[in-house]
Amino acid sequence: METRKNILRGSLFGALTMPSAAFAEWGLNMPVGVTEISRSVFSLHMTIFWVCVAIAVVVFGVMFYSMFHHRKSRGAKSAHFHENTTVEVIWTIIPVAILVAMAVPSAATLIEMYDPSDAEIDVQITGYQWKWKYDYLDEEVSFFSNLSTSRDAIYNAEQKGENYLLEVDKHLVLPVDTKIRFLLTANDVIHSWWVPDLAVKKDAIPGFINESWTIIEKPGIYRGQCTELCGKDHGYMPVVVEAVSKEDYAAWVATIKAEAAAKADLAGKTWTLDELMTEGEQVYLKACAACHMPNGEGLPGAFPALKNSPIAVGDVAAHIDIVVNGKPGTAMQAYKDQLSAVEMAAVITYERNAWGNNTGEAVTPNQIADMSWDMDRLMTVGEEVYGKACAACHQPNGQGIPGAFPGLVGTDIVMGDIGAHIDIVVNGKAGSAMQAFKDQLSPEEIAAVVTYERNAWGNNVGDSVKPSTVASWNGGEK
Amino acid sequence: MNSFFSAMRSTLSSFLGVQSEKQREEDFTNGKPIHFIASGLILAAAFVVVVMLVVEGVLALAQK
Repeated sequence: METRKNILRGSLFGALTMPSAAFAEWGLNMPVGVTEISRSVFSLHMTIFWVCVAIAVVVFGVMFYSMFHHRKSRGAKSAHFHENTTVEVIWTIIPVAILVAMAVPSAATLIEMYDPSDAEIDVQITGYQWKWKYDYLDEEVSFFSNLSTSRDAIYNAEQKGENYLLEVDKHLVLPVDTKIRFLLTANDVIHSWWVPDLAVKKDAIPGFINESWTIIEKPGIYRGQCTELCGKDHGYMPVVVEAVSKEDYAAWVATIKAEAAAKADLAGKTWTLDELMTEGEQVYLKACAACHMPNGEGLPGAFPALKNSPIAVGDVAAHIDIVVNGKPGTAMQAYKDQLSAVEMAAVITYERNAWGNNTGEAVTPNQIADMSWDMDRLMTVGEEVYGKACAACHQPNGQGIPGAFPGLVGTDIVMGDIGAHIDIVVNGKAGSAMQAFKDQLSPEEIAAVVTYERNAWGNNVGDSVKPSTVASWNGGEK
Repeated sequence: MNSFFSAMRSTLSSFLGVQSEKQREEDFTNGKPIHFIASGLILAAAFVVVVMLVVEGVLALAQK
């Protein structure tokens, strides 16, 4: 009897103190994680779990003992009384004491969780339907992270991989042993960013910024999910954090910056229809197929079809506009912040030529870039550029200085042929003080300032210049 | 006055959720509604103040 008691006591003691890694391996328990916070959350969880077990053993033990010992067949008679204030007070005080005892360590952990001070790296996390955007605020690095599980795997047309629905195209790469602050918000509806191994779970709410932080101790891949029901593809926007050494992190930042620069250069390249179609299909599957479906037929009643739709086979400008700026009041997002000009050009070309749409039209990245330069933006930027580069000679009011610098109000150059106007700004005028601005100003700035000059000070010619026109002015030569 | 403290006691026990039958009968024979309303407001305010002080105290401790 005594030995049995000892064994029982020993095994109970062991179960209570054994770090419950064994339980985590069953896949039933929460993970211990790789941060100080996640470990303290785990130990709180286990402590409270054992408190619950102890309460259950005592309460159910007393209950079963009473039922068995005082059963009717042994002649037990039930007592008849209405209330017992002493007992009621006791059974109220004991749970209060247990709750307070559990609140003390919980409060300590909570206070620590809410203290993002002294963070070395700030990452803004924005929830979109249905993807995450990561902005490294100190590095000017920014990208979207999309689900990379193939649609075929989702629709059972292909074997499901090990990380089915928990894999993305671009990981959130973070250095180990560094305090990282997360600033969470959302673009459309409420999302929630959750990585169990970091013990970070925070709502991302449009118009609000929530804070959280982590210090990852171990390099590795940590997977999580959106945990606030956010629409059709809520289950298809996982989170993948890749923790690397500080050196590897610095190298990764350099690589991703170089990639972004290389991508920007691509915009100037001449794209063939085939190249746009190939690139466009990739972009379509990543950014559009969730709603409009891989076959372009949409979901009747929810998301419109693109196959033979008025947008996809009609006016190209309207098609570009809806992709670039979205359609307010619908689920159609503005993609100008999500996709590059090349990607948008490719996907629009794809949509206009796939599934039998066959318009044969190719949209160039320049057309997309031009879309974002409407008259208002050209005039606003143009005024700034004018003040910076032109006003010293031509004067802020465009009157020039008689005898030295010509006025720009109502003169032939600004009121006449737009080509001559662009040319004199791009290439200058030999033998005069007018410089060639092609090396000093970007094509966007030149387009803006020429537009400004043609429409400011009562010139009101009404025409405008697109950056692509300027970019290709000397046959694309600098 | 006596009835007011009796009401106060009953309100306090209602915060805990436990009341004796004797006190309940006392409340319904000699109690005045205004006493219960007043003690309810006073004790609710006191509860809020206590919670605030506890939170302040815990945060002050955590700052160290």
